[in-house]
Amino acid sequence: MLHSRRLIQIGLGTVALACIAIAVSRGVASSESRYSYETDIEPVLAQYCYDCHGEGMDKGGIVLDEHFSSAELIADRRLWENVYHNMEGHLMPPGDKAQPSDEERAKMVAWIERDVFELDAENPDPGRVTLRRLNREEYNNTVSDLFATQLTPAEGFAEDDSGYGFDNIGDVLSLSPDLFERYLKVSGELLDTIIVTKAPLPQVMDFTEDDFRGVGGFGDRTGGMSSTAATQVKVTPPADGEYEITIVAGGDQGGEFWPNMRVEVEQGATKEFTVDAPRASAGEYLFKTSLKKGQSRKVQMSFTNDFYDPKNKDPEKRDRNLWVYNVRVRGPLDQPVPPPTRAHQRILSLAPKGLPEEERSTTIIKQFAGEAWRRPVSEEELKRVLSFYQQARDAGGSFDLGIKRALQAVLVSPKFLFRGEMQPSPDNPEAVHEIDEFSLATRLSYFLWSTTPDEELLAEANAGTLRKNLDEQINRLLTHPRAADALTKNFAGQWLQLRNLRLAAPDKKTFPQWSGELRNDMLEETETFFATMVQENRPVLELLDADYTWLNERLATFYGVPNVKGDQFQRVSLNGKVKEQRGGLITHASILTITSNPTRTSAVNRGNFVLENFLGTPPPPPPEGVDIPPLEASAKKDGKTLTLRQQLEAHREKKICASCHARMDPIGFGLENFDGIGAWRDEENGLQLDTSGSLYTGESFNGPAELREVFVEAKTGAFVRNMADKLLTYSLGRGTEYYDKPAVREIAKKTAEGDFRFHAMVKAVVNSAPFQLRRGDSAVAE
Amino acid sequence: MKPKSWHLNRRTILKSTGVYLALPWLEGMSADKQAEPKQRFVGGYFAYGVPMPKDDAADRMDHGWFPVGEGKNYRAPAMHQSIMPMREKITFLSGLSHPAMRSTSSHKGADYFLTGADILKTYEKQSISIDQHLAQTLGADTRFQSLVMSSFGGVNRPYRSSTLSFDRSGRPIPSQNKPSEIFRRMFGSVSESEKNALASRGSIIDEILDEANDLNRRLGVEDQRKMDEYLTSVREVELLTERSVKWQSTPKPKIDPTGLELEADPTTPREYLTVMYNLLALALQTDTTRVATFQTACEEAGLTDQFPSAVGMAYSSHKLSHEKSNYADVAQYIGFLNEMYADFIKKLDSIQEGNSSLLDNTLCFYGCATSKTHKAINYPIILSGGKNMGFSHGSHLKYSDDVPLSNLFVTIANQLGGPSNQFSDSTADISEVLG
Repeated sequence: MLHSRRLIQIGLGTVALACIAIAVSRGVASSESRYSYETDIEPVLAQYCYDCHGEGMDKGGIVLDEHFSSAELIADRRLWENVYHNMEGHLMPPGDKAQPSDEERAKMVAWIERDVFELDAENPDPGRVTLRRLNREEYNNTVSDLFATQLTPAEGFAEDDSGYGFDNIGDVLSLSPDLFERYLKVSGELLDTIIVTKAPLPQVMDFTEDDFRGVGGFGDRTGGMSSTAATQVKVTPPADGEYEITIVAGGDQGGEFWPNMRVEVEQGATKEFTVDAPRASAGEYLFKTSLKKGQSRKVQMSFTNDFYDPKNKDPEKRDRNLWVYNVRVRGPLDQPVPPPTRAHQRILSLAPKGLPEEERSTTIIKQFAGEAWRRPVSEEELKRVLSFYQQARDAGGSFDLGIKRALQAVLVSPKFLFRGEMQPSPDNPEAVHEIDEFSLATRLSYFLWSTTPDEELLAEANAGTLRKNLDEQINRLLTHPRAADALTKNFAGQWLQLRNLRLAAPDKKTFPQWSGELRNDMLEETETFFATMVQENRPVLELLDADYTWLNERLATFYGVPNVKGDQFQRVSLNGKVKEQRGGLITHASILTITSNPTRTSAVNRGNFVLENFLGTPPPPPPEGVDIPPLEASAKKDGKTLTLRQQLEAHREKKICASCHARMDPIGFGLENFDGIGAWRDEENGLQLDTSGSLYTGESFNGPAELREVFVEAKTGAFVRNMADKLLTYSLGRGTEYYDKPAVREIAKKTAEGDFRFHAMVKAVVNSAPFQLRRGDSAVAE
Repeated sequence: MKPKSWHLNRRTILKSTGVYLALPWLEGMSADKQAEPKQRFVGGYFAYGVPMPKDDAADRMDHGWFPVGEGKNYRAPAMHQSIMPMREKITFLSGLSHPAMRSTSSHKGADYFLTGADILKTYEKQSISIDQHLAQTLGADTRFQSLVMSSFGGVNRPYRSSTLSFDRSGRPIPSQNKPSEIFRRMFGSVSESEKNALASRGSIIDEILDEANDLNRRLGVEDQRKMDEYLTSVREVELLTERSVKWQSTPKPKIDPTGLELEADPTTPREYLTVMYNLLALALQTDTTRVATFQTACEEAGLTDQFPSAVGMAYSSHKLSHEKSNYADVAQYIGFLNEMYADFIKKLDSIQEGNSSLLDNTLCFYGCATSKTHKAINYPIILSGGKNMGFSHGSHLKYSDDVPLSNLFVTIANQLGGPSNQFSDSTADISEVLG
C-alpha cells in the first residue's frame, strides 16, 4: 500500500542541527546508592550463592569472593552482568536450592544497576546507534514510496546480515562491492523505467523450425518443402504499430526457375518472393506490415510452384524445393516516446508548473533529495547534485535526462543508503543529545512502517512540532494497515522465526498431512493473529494464551476445529475442548513445526524457543567437546520402544548436560501433545504421552493447557520484559546493553499500566531514552 | 602467411571431444598475440561427497570414488572411466582436508573449499579463496579478472554458499548461473546506452567519494568505520568500472552462439552442465579470463538438488549421498558428474595453444569438501593439466588425514601467481604434483 506524497516544502533554512544538549555528565550517580555492598549485598550472596560460587567453590568458573577489595569486585562488570541476568531471570540459584525473596532479588538488581553499572535514572545513557544501511525490505519500500509506485528492485540483492535476531542492525549490515554495484545498477534501471526519454526499441520475436506448424499435414516443425505445401508461425504483437517480417529461406532451382514463396499474414498483407538464394546460403526476404496489439496473426509461408523433372540434363536443376529456416518479426518500428509514467508525473509535480527551466530543475532536485535523504538539503549539497543535471545538459541531454542523472546521484548517495544521525559532538561519549526531529521521524517511520517518513511526518519535523504531536503521530501510524503489515512481516517474522517456516521440510512419509498449502496456512494463522494484535491494539499477553485464532477450513480440519468452511481465513473463537488444546503462539502449528525435526518433535528445540524468545533466558550453547547422542523417531531399550521423552531423560543422566536441559526439556514435554507439524496427539508410538513437568522456577503443569496457564500466571513479567527488549532492539537497530536495562524495565512497566496493550508498548519504546536520545561514540572502543 | 598451428581448428575440437555440439566460430584467435604461454586456473566443486564402499567390499571398484593403490599403478574405479583416457594428464589426490573445518558436520563445503578458513563458529574469519588470490596476478590482462559460476547463482547464504569465490575481505563473490547472461557478458555487443551508463557511473563514483569524505568529518568513530566499509566497496567498484572503460574499446571476441544451448537451465542437468562447461572453455580459449570457478551444485534444497534426474533418478542428490550400503545409484550419479567434467577436460586438451594444448596452460582443480557426506576429511580431488606451469600427472597421491589442503594451494600459488610460502593455514607445500 502506498501513501500519497504531495509536495511539501523542506526549507533550506532549517539545516542547522537542532540538537539540545541535555546532560553533559554521566557516569556519576547523582545521589548516593540506597544499598551498601557490605551490609546489603554480601550477606545475600553469602547465604544463597557461596555454596557454589564462594568459599573455595568456583562452579562454572564464577567466584564471588576472591577479589582483593570490594572496589575491585564492584569494578568487575562482566561478573555482575552475569549475576544480574541470573537474578533478574530467576535462573539462579537453581530450583532445588534455597531461593532469595523477591525483595532480595530486587535489591540486588537495583544495587548492580546503581553501583556497578553506574546507571542514573535521571541521566540515562541512551547508547548510540551505528549508521544503518537500508535493508532489502526497507530499500524496496522506500523507493516505492518515493516514486509512489510499487517497486521491488532489491529482489536481487544478497540476503541481509542479521544480528540480535534481526536484519536491521547497523553494526552488522555490511555493504559489499557487489551490493554497491547493484545500487548503481538498480537505481539506473529504476529511473529508466520511470523517466522514459526514448521510444522503446522494437521487440524481436524469433521463430525457428520448432515453432513451425505445417498446413495440411506437411511441414510441421520443418521449413523444408519439396512439393506444394505451407507452414505457419503464430505472432502475438506486443503493441500496435508497424512490424518488419523477415523470412530466412533458401531454394533449390528446378528447371529455369527458383521457388516462389507466398507469405500471407492472416487477415492482412500478402507478399510473393522468388527465393533465389541457394539452400546452402539462405537469404533474407522481408516486408513491413502493421499489426494490432494482442491480436494474434498466423503468418503463412507457401511453396507455390513445385517442379520435378528427374530427366533434366542438369542434375542440379531436377527438383525445385523451398527451405524456410527462420522467421523474425521485429516491431513496432514507429513507437512514439510514451507519455510520462505516474512516477514521472509525481517527480515533475515537485515543482510548480510554469517555472523557468533552471528554477524548475533546481526545485525538483532539491525536493526529491530532501525526501530521499529524509531531511533538508544544504545549499552545498544541492549544488553537488545539480552538477549532474548540468553535466547531462551540457552534453546535449534533455531536461528529463538531466533530472534522471541527478536523481540517480541522490539514490546512490550514502545519505540515502544509510540512515545517519548527525550530532554536534559525534566523538564525545559524555555528550547526550536529543536526536533532531528529522531523525526522530525517520526512526519512527522505519520502526512502524519499514519505510521512509511520509509527507506528514516530514512536515511535522520541518515545523519542529513532531515531539509535541508525537502521541498523535504514533496513533496515526499504528492504526494504518501498513503498521500491522510491516511489524508482522519484519518484527514478528524475525522475532518468532516465522521466516524459517519457508525452509522447514517435514518428512512426508511421517507426516502425510504436510503440504505446501498447509505450510502457507500455518504462516497465515500466526501472521494474521499478530497483525490483529497490532491493528486492534490487543494485549500482548494474548500471544501467550488467547481464546481466539484465525483459521481456514484446511487448517481447522487439521486442528480438529469444526464448522470452519472455505479457503478464507476467519476469526474463530476457541472454547471447550478446542480451547484446552489451542490458544496463543506456542500452540500454533507454525511455531510447533519450525521447532521440530523433519521426522519427530524436539522437546529441546521447543523448550529453547520458549526460553529464548518468550522468557528472554536462553540457555548457553552446549559445551564444546561433548558427544551429543542422537535421538531417533523410534528407539528401543531392552527390547522396549521408548518415547522421545524417555530417550531425553536418559540423556540427562549426563551431568554436564543436565543443568540446561532441566530448563529446556520440561517445557518441550508440556508440548508433546503436538506432533512434528503441530497436529494434536494423545500417544506416541502407541505409548501414552507423559506431558507433565515443571519450570526451572518450580511451577508444575500437566499438558499444554496448564503450561499456558503457568506462563500467564507466573511469567507475564518475564514475557513482557523480553518482548520489550526485542521490540526496542528492532526499533533501534542495535542490540540492547546493560545500560538499557532501566529503559526496558520502564517500557515493561508502562505496558503493564496500559493494560498490556500493544500500542502502549510501542509508545513506551518511542518515548524511551534510547529512542529519543543519543550520545557520542567512545573515541576509544571499549 | 600460413597460419600457425595453434590457429583454432574447429574440426579437431569436434572430432576429439565426442561432444556433438557445433562449436561457435572463434574469430578472435589471431596468430600474432603474445607468445608467452598463459597461466590459468579453474576451481570446480561438486556437492555432498562420494560413495565409499569398504576396501574389501565386492563393489569397491564398481561404486567407489577413490582409486585403489598408490602411485603410477593405481586402479581407478568404474565411475572414472570417462576421464581415464586422460590418465597421463590427471592426478587423483586423497587424504587432504582443511584442518579448521574437519569437525564440521553439515553441508558447508562450498563456503571453505577454496578458502581453508576457520568458519566453524563464526563467519568472521572467512578469507580469500585461492582463485581470487591467483586472480590478483593472473587477472590483470583480461577483460574479466575472474569468472565465477555456479548452478545456483548469487551467493545464497552463509554456510550454504552458492559461490566458491571470496574476496580479500572474505566476502562472497556472486556467481553467474545463467548461460545466456554469461555469454552476453563475455561476447555480447555493448549497447550505446551501456556505454553511456558506464561513463555516468564514473562521475557518480567520483561524487560519492567526495561526498562521503565530507560526511565522514561529521560522524563518530563507529559510524566512520561503517562509512569506510562503504567507501572500500565504492573504490572497488571504481576499479572495476575503470577496467570496463579500458576494455570498452577492445572488441569482444566474435562467437556464434549457434549450438550452445544458452537457454538451458538446471531442470535439464545434462544440457545445463554441458553449456556451462562449454562457456567456461570458451572463456579460457578466448582469453576473456584466466581464472574461473564453477560450483556445479549448491548443498541446499532446490533445483540443483534434483540433478540425479539426468540419469533417470527421482531422488535428490542429498538423499542419494546419505545411502549407507547400496551405492549403485549414487555411483551412477557421481559417474554422470564425472563424465561432464571429463568432457570439459578433454575439450581443453583438444584446443591447441602454442605447441601444446589449452589444458597444458590451465591447472584444473576439482573435488568436494567431504569424503562421505558429513565427513569433512579426505576430500576427493582430481588435479588436471597445467603441464606448462610445472605440474606432472599420472598418479594417485595418497596423504594421511592430517595434511592441510592449503599445502596444495601454496604449491599452486607458487607455480601460478608468484612466490608464496603461505596460504590460509598451510604448513608446507606439496611438491609431488610437480614434475
